[in-house]
Amino acid sequence: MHAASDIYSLFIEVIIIIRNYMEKKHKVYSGLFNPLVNIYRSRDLLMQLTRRNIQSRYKGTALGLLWWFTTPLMLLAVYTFVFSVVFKSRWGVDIGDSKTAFALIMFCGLVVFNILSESLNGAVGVIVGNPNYVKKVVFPLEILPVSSVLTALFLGLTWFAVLLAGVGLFMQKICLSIVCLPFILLILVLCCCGLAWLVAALGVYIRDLPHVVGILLQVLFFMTPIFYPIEMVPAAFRSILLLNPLTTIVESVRKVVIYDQWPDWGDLGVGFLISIVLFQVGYFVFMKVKRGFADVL
Amino acid sequence: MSRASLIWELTKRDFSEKFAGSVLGFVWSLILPIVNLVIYMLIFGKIMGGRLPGKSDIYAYGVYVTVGLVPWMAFVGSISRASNIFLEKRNLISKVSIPLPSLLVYVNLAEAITFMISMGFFFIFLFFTHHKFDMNMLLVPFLFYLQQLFAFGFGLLAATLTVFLRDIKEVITLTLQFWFWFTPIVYVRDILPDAVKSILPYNPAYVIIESYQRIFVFGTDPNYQALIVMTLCTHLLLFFSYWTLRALEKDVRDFL
Repeated sequence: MHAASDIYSLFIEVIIIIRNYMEKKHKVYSGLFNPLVNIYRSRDLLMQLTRRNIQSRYKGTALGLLWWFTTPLMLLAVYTFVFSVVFKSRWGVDIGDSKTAFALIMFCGLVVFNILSESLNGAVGVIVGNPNYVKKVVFPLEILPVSSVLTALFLGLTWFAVLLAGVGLFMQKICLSIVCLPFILLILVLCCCGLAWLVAALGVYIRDLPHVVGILLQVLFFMTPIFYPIEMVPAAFRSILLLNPLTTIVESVRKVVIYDQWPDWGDLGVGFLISIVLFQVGYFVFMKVKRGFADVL
Repeated sequence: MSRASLIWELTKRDFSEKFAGSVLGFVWSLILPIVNLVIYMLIFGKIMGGRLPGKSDIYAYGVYVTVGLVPWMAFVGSISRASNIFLEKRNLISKVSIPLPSLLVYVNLAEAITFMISMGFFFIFLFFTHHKFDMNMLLVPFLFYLQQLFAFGFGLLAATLTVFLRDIKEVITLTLQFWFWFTPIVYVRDILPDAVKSILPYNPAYVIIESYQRIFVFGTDPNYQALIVMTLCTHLLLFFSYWTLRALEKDVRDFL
């Protein structure tokens, strides 16, 4: 953990140097680095917020934070049991012992979707729910949605740990290709941050947004191949599903975790570009409308 | 304030809190069921190409899923909200003298309103697609009453125990997940292996959901024998839960 944060801080220092250099020497617009630099500057606050979010969720339970692991573990157990004993359904593509594989394949989609939905559900009310941060103190509001994303990511990482353990246990293998997982997750997190900023900012002005986000997430859930393989979808609709960036992410996670294949780099590259655009647009919009928050709340 | 009007106030506040500040307000509680209906009919039926074996109607699977999921949502919603309700309303309980079961009544009432709205739209849909109506549909209020009574008993037990052990709430969430997949709601009973089929009649959710499916999809009579047995069991559960609450009520109030 410490090594990772050291590397990250080194990376940010380099970015700050590049930014200053570009601004001074070449007068080039360098606002693109602002989100990263701002998050880095409030990193302590961000960590505290996230820790508090995480701890408050299972406050008062006997098992406490153990539920972080117990929930995905039990869920995977339920799916494995249901889809191998009760259903005996097949995913279509045969790989090894396809009974348990079915549950694992579904779990991949569920993990990814959960990170997105937890991020957005958390972010959409995060400004409205904390009016004191807006009115009473000087506070880097832009990190509030990011802390929702980080909380969701933390939850998601325990789910991934359970998923990898499941793959190791049931399929007796750990694919080398999982080294791509951090990159796939980076795309997901960038998308989540961008969207989280957007919904958090608009949620202040449009109080109906939580319901809209709820509906959109539900539609998205069924429009993403989570409980069914994409091959099952009629060809006419398949191209629509492929427009959904989540499809690329889910399919890539499946490839690297279960099928031991390298992901489609072309698709991932496009996804990465989309995620950067979302990240920047989200941040830009949030910072633009941030000044009006105090008047509305 | 009389007990009934207190419950009604709580129910109204539940809806107004949920939609507080939004422009459309209460209209959202109409929009959400419509969107769900569209998802079931279009996405499940058309895009994913779900078909019921032996039925050529493109909406047959959508109808099958709807009559399973709409009651199931009310059932699950009642239980999962109920399991947390004493903790959620601890301020109210400590300030106002309120009988604890009436909090569950209001949760059930709120779910019932959502259910009625959804079913209202569903009937409109059936009317416009020229679905065959028959007398058995008059049984729907009874089926709903029975399932919510069961949810009430189950929820009361869960709510009481959650006060002492918060983990119960998480256990309930997981149990409901398990339960969902063990009940033929999004799939048909025939795909199950025989061993599982033989224990299905002991699943109360199956008894209820199957009755809805028989009435709306297959146009046959529900299994009256199973329904009678279930009515008896539900009342036993209700008595047991109520008795547990009465036995522990003093401790529950102390713990909050």
